[in-house]
Amino acid sequence: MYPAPFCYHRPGSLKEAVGLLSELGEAAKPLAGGQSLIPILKLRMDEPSDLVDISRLPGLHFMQNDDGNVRIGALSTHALIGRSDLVGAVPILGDCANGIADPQVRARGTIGGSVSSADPSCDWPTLLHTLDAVIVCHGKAGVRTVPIREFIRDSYTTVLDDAELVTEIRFKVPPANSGGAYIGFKKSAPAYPTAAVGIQLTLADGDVCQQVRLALGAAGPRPVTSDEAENLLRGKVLTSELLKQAAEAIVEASDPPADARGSSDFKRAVLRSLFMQAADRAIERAAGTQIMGNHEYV
Amino acid sequence: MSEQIQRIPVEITVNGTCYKREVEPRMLLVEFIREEINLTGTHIGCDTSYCGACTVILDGNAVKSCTLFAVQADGGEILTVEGLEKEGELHPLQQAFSTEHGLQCGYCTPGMLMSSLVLLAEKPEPEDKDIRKCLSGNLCRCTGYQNIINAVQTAAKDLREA
Amino acid sequence: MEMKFKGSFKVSLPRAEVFEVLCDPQKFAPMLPTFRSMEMKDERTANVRIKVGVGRIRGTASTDLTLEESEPPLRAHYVGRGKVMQSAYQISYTFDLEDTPDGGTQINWASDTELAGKILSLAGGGLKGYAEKEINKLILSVQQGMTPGAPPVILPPEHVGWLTRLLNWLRGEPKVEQAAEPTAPQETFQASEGLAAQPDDVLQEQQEARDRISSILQVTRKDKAMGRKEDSRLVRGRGLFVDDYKPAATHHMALVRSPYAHAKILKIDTTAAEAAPGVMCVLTGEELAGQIQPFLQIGAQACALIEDYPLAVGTVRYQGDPVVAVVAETLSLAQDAVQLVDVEYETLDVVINCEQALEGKTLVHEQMGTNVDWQGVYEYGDVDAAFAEAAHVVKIDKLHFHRFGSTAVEPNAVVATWNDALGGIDFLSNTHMTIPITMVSLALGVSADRIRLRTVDIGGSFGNKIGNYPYMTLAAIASRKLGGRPVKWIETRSEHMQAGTQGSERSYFDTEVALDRDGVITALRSRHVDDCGAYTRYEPLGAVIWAQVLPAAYKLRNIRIDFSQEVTNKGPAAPNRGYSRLPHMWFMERVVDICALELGIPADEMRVRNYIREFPYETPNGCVYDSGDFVLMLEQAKDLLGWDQWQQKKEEAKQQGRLIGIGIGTTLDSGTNNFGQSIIVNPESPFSGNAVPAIAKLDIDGSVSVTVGSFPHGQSHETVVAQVVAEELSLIPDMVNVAIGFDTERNVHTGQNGTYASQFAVTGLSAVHGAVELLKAELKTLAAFALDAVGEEFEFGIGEMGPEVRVKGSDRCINFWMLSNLVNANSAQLPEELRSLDLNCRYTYRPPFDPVDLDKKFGNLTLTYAMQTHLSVVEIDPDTGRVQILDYAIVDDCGKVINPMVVDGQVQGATAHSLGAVLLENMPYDDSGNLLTGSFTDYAPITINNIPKIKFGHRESPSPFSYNGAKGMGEGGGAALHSIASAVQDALFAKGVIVRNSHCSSNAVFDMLQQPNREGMVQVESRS
Repeated sequence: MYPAPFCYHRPGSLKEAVGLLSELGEAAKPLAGGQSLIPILKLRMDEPSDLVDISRLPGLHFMQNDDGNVRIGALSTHALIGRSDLVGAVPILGDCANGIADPQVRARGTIGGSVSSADPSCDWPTLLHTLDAVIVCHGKAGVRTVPIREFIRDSYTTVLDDAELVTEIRFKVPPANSGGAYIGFKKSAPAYPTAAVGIQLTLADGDVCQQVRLALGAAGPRPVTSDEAENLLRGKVLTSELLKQAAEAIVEASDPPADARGSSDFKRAVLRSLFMQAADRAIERAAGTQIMGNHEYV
Repeated sequence: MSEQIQRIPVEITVNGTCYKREVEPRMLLVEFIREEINLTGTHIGCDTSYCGACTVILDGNAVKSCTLFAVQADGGEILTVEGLEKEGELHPLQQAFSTEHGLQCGYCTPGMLMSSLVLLAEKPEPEDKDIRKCLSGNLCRCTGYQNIINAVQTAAKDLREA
Repeated sequence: MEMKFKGSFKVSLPRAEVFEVLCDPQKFAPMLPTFRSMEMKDERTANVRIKVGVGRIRGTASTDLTLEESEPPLRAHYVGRGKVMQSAYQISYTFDLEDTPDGGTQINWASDTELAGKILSLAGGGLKGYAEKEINKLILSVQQGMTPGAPPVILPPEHVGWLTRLLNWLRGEPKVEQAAEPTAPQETFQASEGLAAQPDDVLQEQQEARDRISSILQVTRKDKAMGRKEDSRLVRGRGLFVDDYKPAATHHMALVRSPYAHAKILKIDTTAAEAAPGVMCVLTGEELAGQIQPFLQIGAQACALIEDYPLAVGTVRYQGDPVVAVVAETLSLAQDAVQLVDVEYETLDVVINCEQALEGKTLVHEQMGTNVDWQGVYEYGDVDAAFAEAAHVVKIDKLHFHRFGSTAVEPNAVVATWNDALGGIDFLSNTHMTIPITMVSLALGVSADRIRLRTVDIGGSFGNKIGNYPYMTLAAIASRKLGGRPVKWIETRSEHMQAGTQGSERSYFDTEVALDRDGVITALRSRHVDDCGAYTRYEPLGAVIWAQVLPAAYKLRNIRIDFSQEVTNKGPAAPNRGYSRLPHMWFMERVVDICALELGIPADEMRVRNYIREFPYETPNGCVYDSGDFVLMLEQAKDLLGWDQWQQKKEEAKQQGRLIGIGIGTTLDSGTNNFGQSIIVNPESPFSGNAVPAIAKLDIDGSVSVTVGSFPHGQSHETVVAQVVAEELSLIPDMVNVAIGFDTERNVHTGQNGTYASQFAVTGLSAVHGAVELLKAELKTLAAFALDAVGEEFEFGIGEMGPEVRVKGSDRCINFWMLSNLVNANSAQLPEELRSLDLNCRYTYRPPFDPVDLDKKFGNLTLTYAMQTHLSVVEIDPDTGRVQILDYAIVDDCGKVINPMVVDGQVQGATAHSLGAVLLENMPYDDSGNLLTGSFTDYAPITINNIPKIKFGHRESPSPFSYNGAKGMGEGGGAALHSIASAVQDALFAKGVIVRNSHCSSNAVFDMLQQPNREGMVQVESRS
């Protein structure tokens, strides 16, 4: 299977890339790792006129942690993030980065590409909701930063215009008394997740929930969040009963589509179950326990 | 799309030899390897980046060469299955796949070898779960995988003891 | 998939004005969502391009939008037809206008969309949601728009529904695009501002990785041990798979396939495709029908009326049915041109399940007059009497064996060259049976002798690639049209899913089981319906070969099975590992488990009471189970698993509310087919028995070369043949050359050759053995002459001058080269009576089968029976249905083991297939006949992460019927389907669940837990 013909561009700078995309219009597409885009092109499900290869743009491959302010360049691959020191400070990052697809895809796929695709099944958009990340976008008009919650508008739809690129992801390292976990439920590594749950909990005085972020993936057109569920937990002593209520509340807000991965009811059941597992893992991590995160396979 | 077919000059080093070609942008890396330079050990088994039969090593990482355009590998260094043997002698990893019966039809094997090689380069003493993780994107329909795990373990041992 | 929406809204414009806009395609079309461009084709029809984004995929749709009906100023009705993303759709918009009392207009609208094609698999469940979302947005904007004083609805451009645009336009409000300015920049643009450039790190990391790899590449091996003969080329990437074969001037074929499951072809326009760059020729079904005969139908009932061509003629019958073939200089140009072919279809009702097929309201093949392609009753013993005497009768409602495929990693492929100068058609293909030669020969009217079929390396098949012949035929015709240029066709994965790999599915109705007081099954009656998809192809042979294992492992003698097979609008079935017997044994195992649970007998005890005990055992239909011991196998497997400990753990878990189940799967792997059973589907069938030849020769250089008639694709035939021949001739295996792959020109084939139905260890090796015996006899005769030792005894061995023949116990010897020389180069030395020897010995092995009794459906259908017992322990999450395998043990018995490594490999591989089928792999179709798992990503074939650690045990009960005591054994590992279903059944029986379907994915088990079905599914009548 080969893609339909297109013109290829390899700009030398971000400015040039944005200029090209703007000039070529909406029939052009940026190409970073290509791990989502290329299969679609091969099936000829999409036929862009031009591809602008941004994978070599300077200055977008980096990971930094300056006093708890994390910045990840958009072209950082899942593999590099998963192996980086950041994982020690923010274990939930490792859960996500090391669980995406398989090693080959992780070696090429980028965080920026994943976020920009806004694929409801992609892991990063969901995960970044739990960290209240901010997306830095460069466009014709300049730079803007958009909170992840506003960045993804709908399935496959972001605030990016045709000539705008994600250049960086920013978030703060959660405090020491915080723990997070991200778990995806998949048939196999190279299959998309059936459902995913990300939870970041900050605990004070033992088990009182000071701050919380919850997000569900592959559970609707965009990552599912729930103020109601978070409010149920915030300021409370976390009990299994309370967590179940929160799970119920956020799953209520989800709308998982029925597809080859499962029926909607099944996916809701999986989401509830993953929620409880992720919460347990997050609580343990908040208490300082080092645990490896793994995706669940059916 | 312009009327004229665009051709992009690329220089790609495969198994130590640098190949200079002008390619259509849509040429996949796997097509470059199989058709342009006629190394047919790298196989194609699917169209959605699932099976891993096309796995090669690009700049030290295992990648699926069907999910990469040749132009993206411009300037890169690639190792394919044909680059594993040395002066006609098999590499211990190839040998271990044979002695442990880690292959039957042999179609997925080149991809399995390339993925495993990266693991062994990083982790000389892998646990079974590391091997499973490493080969999670390589489909085999013949072996049931157990012998592949054994083969990688045997190769790891042989490499350590060599 | 059909999506219907309707609603109404009011606007202040008068009706006439509204109508004027709506009835003009030029004004209406630009209001469609994500409108891109348009071109008027005529007054009422506009070709409109819109942007669409559905599921993971996005693209541009091209629609011919026609104003089909306009009734001023009341109604406008548009119908759009088009294709998008390899799929087809039809969409209609209807507007009915009414005056409102305030002088405005009420618009009642309805929209109906019908989608078909690959998109439904790839976009997953996103479609309905997408449509619903669009409509929700629309209603929201309508409501807001209608609220007095509400601000105009401004949504970002990507959200704008077409009706919102219409509303805005009608209200004369500013266009949304203008209103939606990009968010004001919060920082000014500076290319490098804020970007910490560290690409050097990346480079350094890459360098380190490269260095690590270079360093381990330097390591050399300690010894030269190798596992198999085949491996040397395969681990080097130097095999020759079809796609690796590139004769000069090879052209490439790509296919236009139907997006619809059932439709009439109204028109095919290939003009644009023919004019496209690099295109050499285009073929349609109409053209083929004038040139070739439809493919031979194996069966004699209604299926004989099917007209099956390589391309659809007039009607498409499944999603993926090939309609047009395009051949071009390169594959990408062929694929480009495929998109330019325009096919107009008229959709027909579809037949998607066996109930619809049996109902027969819609016929898949009109000329059949029914959807049942074959039917027959298998009745043995006195069934009614046994039921009359039964202590218990268990009645079981419908059970179902699901559709899945083995999906070899290499799809179907062929390079065909039609070259009269070279003698006819030359195929390099990856099919693996000689039946395709017959099929091609009859369709093209070319003598079999003029068809050369070669295979070299084949990337797996598991039966599927026997279905390659329509494509082989098509490529041959294309090559003929191109004046003999080679034409290559490589199936894509998504084509393979739709058309190349599906196993048949089976439903079991009205099952009734009679048991005696001890729980021994005395009789069974049932009605089985097989679904082979749109074309019968290698069917209805599968419809009879389950009878090789009629009673499975059990001793009941009274059986009546009313068996039929029907066609549906699904992908055509191909043989699939365990073909036909696997579904039957799954059924029998379900019967045994359900009866055991209902009667309160432990599953192991139930089996022990019912297992066949004495071998050889003649089954009620005349098959002979050669040897084995099911009871001992079960005992051994239980020890291996730790049965008692697991039973204890299961009880403990139960106390904690956990669901653990322990399952048993007993299975038989019938090897070496008696083709005599083909008379059951066709009394005129000229097949019976089985015949497989081999050639053993001493070549001119004194080397031993063996050629077999099998088509190996992973089964290690080169290794095993070399091993066997080396033993016979006292050589080392490396000294034996074994021809790679299959080639008709080597003259080692009959009408039944192939690698299928688990037979090589018996038929293949028997043929090799026979040929080597002939060779040995010739060698001895020649040696007797050369050594002047007539009447002496001889032995074989390796001497100083290589392989030799010796006078037993002496040093009088002659080496192989000298013997070969006598025949090949030094023949004047030979006395007259030895001149008929040529050291080129062909032997055909014919197993000792008798013809089958057609009336009674009685006879020995297969020669050997390998056996397997699988035990599994699963835990089921009561909340999600997630199935986790906690433990797994297998004991297999395939008679004398020739090569333990190869046997283990087959057992493990077959186990993985069936674990994949039961836990992950399924080919569901929606109500319109769209395959929902059309890619690997959706189908998710089993990976290394899904395989548990398995414990293996062996028994060895030599077959009395094969010269070497071996049995065929490539498929029996399918027992994981039985054992996992059994374990799930064990875990869920207490919850009121009867496992009805062979697919026990987590989702399926979740559904079982939601809807306990025991009541109504199973009834037990017991006599006191």
